[in-house]
Amino acid sequence: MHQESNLPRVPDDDPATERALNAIGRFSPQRGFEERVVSRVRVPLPHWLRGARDYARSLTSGVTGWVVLATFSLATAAAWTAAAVIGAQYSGEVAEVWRQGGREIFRVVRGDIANDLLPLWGVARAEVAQWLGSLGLDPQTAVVGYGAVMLVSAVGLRWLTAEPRKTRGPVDVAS
Amino acid sequence: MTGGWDLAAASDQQIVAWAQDGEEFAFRELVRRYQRPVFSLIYRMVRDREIAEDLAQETFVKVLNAIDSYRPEHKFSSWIFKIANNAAIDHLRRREPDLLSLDGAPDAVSAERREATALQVRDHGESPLDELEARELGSHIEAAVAGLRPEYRACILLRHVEGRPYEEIAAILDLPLGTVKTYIHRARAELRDALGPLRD
Repeated sequence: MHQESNLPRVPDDDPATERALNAIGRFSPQRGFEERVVSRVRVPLPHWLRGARDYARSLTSGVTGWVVLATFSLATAAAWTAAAVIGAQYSGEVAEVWRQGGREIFRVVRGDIANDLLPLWGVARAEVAQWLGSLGLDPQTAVVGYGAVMLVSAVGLRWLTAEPRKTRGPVDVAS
Repeated sequence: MTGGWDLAAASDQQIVAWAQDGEEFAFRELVRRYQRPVFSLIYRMVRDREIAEDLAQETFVKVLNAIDSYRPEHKFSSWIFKIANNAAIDHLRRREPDLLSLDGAPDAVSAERREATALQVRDHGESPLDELEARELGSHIEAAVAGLRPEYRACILLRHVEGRPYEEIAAILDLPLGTVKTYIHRARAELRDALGPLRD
């Protein structure tokens, strides 16, 4: 060991002192120390997840509810203004397009319903009624019965999958 | 091995890197590695097992919760010993100085309290005669170390129990290297005087 010249002369290789210092050991904390420490430690998120979170935060840093509200208001006002300007500028054309378009859409929808959907529904209903009749069932009774079966099934499933209710009783110490 | 990582062979820096990446096993490994050194240092500084437990726990919580701020160019051991020593010194400054007793602190009013505040001498697991001799020597050295000034005590414990180099002790205690050498030199001189009756 390096000795400084102005120190009093005490041999560092003094055998008794060395022997005594070698007798110094370490102590152990009480059992469960590790658990007590770890339970109080905030384990950080994985690196990649922290990166993603930090990136998202950097994008939204400084954004408050007022900023969102103001942006939304401005965007809405701009859209309405643009629509109003366009409407005023091309009101005749827009009205004509709406008239023609509306009429066309109404005609198509009405034609589809009258020509396709209603006949199809009538055919399907007649087929099902015929099939139920062959089974000796009245269609209305079958519909009600089907609904009742679904309701009973739902209640039964809910009851079967419900968590057991906690009840008072002896505590299982072993567990 | 944990999840393919060889913990036994891993350096402190590697373990810390895993901890910084959110691996809980790395936190546990750091606690396992340093719980005895940190607790021993604090226990010998404050001489109260319960307080030493609390301070050691606070030390680990403080270090592990700030693990992101750890810089790998420094030794992890220096960092944790520094915080442990500061915790012990802060505690010693807060409380009234008391007299040394291997039988328990002077303010101990109950048998449990006396037992809690008495330094327990290490059991070496040797033959009865050797063990008796070792325990007697251990009692003397523990008493002698406990009688040192706190700064001398920290130096001598870090040097002779933890085997830290002078430079690291200087970093841990925020002292100039020359001061550390002087403290250790004087501490050894005081220990030699205190152990006088046991000298060959």
